[in-house]
Amino acid sequence: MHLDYTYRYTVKCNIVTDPQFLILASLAGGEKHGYAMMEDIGQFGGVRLGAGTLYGAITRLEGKGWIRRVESEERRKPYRLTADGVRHLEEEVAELDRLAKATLRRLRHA
Amino acid sequence: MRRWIRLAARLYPRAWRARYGEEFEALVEDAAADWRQLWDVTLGAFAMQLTNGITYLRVAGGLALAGSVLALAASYRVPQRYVSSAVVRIVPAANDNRPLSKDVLRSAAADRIRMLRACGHGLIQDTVRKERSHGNDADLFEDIEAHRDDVRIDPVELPGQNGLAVRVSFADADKEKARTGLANLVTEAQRFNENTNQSNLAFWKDVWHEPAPFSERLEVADPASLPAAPSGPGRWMFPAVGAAAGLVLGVPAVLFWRHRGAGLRVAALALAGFAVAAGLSLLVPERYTAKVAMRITAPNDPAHLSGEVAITPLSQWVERLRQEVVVPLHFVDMDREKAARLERVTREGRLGIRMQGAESATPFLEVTFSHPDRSTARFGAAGVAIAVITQYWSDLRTDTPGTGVLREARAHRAGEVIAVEDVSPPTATHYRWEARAAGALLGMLLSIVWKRRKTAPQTGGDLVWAAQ
Repeated sequence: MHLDYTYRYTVKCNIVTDPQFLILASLAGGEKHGYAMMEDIGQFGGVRLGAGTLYGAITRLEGKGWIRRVESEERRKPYRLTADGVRHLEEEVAELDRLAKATLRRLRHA
Repeated sequence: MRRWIRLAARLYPRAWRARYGEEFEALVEDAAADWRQLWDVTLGAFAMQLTNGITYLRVAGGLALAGSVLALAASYRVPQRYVSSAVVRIVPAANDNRPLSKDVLRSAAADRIRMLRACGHGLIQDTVRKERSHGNDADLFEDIEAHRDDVRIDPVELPGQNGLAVRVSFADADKEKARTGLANLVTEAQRFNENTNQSNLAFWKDVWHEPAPFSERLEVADPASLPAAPSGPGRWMFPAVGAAAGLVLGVPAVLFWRHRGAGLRVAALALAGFAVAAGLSLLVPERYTAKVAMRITAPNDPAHLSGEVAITPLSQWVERLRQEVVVPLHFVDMDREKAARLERVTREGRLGIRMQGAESATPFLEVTFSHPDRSTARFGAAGVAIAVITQYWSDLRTDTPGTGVLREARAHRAGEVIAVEDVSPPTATHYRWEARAAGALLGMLLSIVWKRRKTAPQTGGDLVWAAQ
């Protein structure tokens, strides 16, 4: 998968506060609407996303085909991960895991 | 606050609102309503606008509006300028019975204008010194000195009057100061002119043993006016400039936002290039160059304007003048303290005296002086120019080698007068700002080359909402 340079940089250096990653991580626990995502991310990520930031990221994620809106009669529309989104999240988490393990190894030898 | 946030949400693009508007409003109702949220929604709307196809016009429009408002606010920080003006006539002396033609008077007027312009600086300085020595308040004169560039002198022709005139104007933030300052300047100019006339009469008689053909007076036709309304700055111009700046800034703003990674890299490398160039430019010694152009004026005496005498080509005698009078400069007849400083200063800097336009009808001597200090550069150039004039008159009175060429010149050219034509402000010759700009440009070019090698193909699909 090709990632643009900005996003690659974000993933490697600032992954824990990247709104797109946080949304994917939140939706990994099941479909959620905007406010539910905001609350969930606040709890598990310790990051309070603003409405503008959240929907900016949702718009981009949907554009990339990594999340999809679930049709609903409610005003609050839930979103869920697509297969591409799951695959991408797995890759990102694996990359993060590899980085974390490498860092731990270094720390043990420090 | 929630109301403001809802209003900010309307700033999102229409297509985006069609798709996400309802759920976004629901989220805004559920989420906390505070300043942070408002800022976040506003910024989000701005970012979303930037991803739209007609973004530039909207961003540029927004920036132009912001620029207009800011510029209008800034315009009220700029002080108003009041311009006082006075009309000074240049009239022949009462005992001057020569048949003065309009051309002769025009020539005389031109000389007086040049005298006023060139001597204004020294005149005001001398006045300050004199006022100080008498324990008087010299603030007013210092104020004039600080605003010397605000003095304008333009020739005018008064209807039905014998003689030409000049309109002198002086601008200041205070209208009363503008008027008083100009009135004082005109009075001092008249006094200076009178003294110059007296000196010229004496010199002329000493050298040529005949009455001097020139002794024009400066007569106030219209005294310094009290300006009723400020002449500037035009308030409408500020918003216009602000709007134009906003429109121009729209392009880099959009490009920067769309390609934040590349934008940051360009900005960082441009800044680095600027810093490196700024550092390197400090190694180049700072030097300022001041220039004074000294014109060899046409004669004022109508008796010698007929062209009946054989005229030596001007370029020939001017070159001899330069060699015999100007080059062996000894700073004679100058204030001892000033002469000593001038001699010291000219040893520290680089002095150049050369003829410009020797083959033309209006040749002039150009004095250039370079020095690391800006004001010393000006002092050196102006001081040497004054010394040249002083030397000229001194050589006229005494039997020095220069006198021969001057007497010969007078015989053929009817006593050309050497006078300061123009004193340009010292200009820096170290090109530091140019070097910094070049460094920044080089940094930007490097970042573009780097981008081409580093950028991976972009993922598409970010604008799906915009097409809906």
